[in-house]
Amino acid sequence: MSKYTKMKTSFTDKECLAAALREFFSEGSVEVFAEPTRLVGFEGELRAERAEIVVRRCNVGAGSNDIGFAREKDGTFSFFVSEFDRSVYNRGTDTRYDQAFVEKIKQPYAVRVAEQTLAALGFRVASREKVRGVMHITGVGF
Amino acid sequence: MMRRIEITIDEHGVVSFTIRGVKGQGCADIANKLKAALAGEVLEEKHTSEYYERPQAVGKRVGQ
Repeated sequence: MSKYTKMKTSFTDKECLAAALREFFSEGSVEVFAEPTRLVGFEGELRAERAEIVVRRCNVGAGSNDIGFAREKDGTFSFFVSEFDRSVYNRGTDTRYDQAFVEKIKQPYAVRVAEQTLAALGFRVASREKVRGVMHITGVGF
Repeated sequence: MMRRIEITIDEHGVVSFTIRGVKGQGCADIANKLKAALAGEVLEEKHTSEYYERPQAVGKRVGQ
């Protein structure tokens, strides 16, 4: 049984984090729960670790365990991944499920938080463009 | 006047933003809300000259 490791992240918005993850997995692969749910190991056994955002093992890789993001008391999410899966490759992010994977999620996460905040401030997104890897978003309001 | 917020987010999730068409405290309020929402992600905040301007008074004097 591969031990889970926990990586701290700076993500705080559950829906924005789930939406960012959906860029890198097939449709329906990213599950969101109101309460933390048990992760499942590669043999189908329930593991002690719990998470509110879960990608089931069949969508992670062959012989994989679930991966998940769990809310901490300080409001941030931690990333749960098994030691085995830290060496598994994710085609969407072009990384293994390690710190590099977390880094790849940061841009799409920030895009969603930025656009959500623009809407809350009464701005609409007038343009969104990616130029040489950098996202440019313009919000306009009256 | 149209208010405008230009946001850039690099590949590492580092955010910078510029606010245009909003003067003084209104600009600072928007900047603070953006920074709060993007907790830990904001690297750079650019102030345009409008930031340092005082908002125009609204309303007019009527009669003597």
